[in-house]
Amino acid sequence: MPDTRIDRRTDPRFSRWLAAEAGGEEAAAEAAFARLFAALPPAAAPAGFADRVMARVAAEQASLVRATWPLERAALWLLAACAAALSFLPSWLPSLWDRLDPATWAAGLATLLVRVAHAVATLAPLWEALSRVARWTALAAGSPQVVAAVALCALLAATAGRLLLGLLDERSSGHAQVG
Amino acid sequence: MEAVAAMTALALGGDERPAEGTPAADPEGARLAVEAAGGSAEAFRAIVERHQQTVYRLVLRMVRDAALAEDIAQETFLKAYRALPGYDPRWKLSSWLLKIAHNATIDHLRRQRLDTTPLDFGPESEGTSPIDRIADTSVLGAEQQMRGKALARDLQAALGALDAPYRELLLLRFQEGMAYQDIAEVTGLPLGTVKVRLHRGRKRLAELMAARGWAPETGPPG
Repeated sequence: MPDTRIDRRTDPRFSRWLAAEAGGEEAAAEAAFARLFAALPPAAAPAGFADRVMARVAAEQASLVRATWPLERAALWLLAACAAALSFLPSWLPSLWDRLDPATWAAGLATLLVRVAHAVATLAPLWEALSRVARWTALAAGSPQVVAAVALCALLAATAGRLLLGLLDERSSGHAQVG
Repeated sequence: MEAVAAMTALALGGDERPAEGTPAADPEGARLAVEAAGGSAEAFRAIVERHQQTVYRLVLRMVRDAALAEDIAQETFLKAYRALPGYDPRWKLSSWLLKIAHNATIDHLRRQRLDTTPLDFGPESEGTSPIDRIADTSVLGAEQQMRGKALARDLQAALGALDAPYRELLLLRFQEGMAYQDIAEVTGLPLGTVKVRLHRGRKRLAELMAARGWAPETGPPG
């Protein structure tokens, strides 16, 4: 709402600025404008602003500590586990040394071989069934009639596939023209 | 008044900026930044207290909402706190903070499109508003006081009606008294663009003031 009580159209600062702008000298215009700009009301940060910023910083630091604590705790547990393991190491060393005995290793290897052989023997019926299927397939492939029938089927399937693709192309181009 | 003095000095040709490689553009600021990055809360508080007015003033005049301005200004300092370890002491601390404030404010304006929100300095009663305070600080006559208030109010409204990019450049130059080069670094604009936009911004502000009935005096200015 314009203030009609006063002649609010002129002010020396405003006039000087416009005169300086009209004069075309950038530096003088800037200086005059700066004086006019000083008429703007002050805008001071509200009281307690710094305190509130510091509170937010402290809150962020606290949340950061909370966020990193699980990692630190895990690292501590890991360190404790390592320390405990190291304290038991002297008592474990002899048993570890015993396990390095060549006779023990050879016995273990033999046991493993026997187990593998048993597993292969258990699967023998399966091998036999597979070999039977292979034998029938070979016999069928050796017969000229079967080979001719298979080749004919393949030829028919390929021809049908080509026809189908041609039909699909025609349909799609027809739709495109309509669209 | 400091800004006016700084501006007058700048306008008279003092627009130099320390060359690259100078130890620190703001040694005290750099020292505080290093201490704050090292975890000193006192140093960071000192930074906030030194620069809160500059940051808050810029943000307030950009978003024109006191509560929002405080929030963005606080966020600016929080971002600065997080970024302190990467602070380059060749930057003036104030310019660095204003760059962060600039980014935060522009992001906000892009999101909220608050450019046309009316200025809100809170409840404004006769005799207690900032505009009243500035008018009452002098020993002007009643008519001059009213004219001063009207000028302040219209200038503020015209500034608020100015496009945000022009407004920000005018604020950085004439409110904070910053050099062209510093403004270019804060806003990320080329130096030439800064100069052209400042010139255009002033012309546009003159038009906006004219639209509010302001005209040069007919006689010699006094």
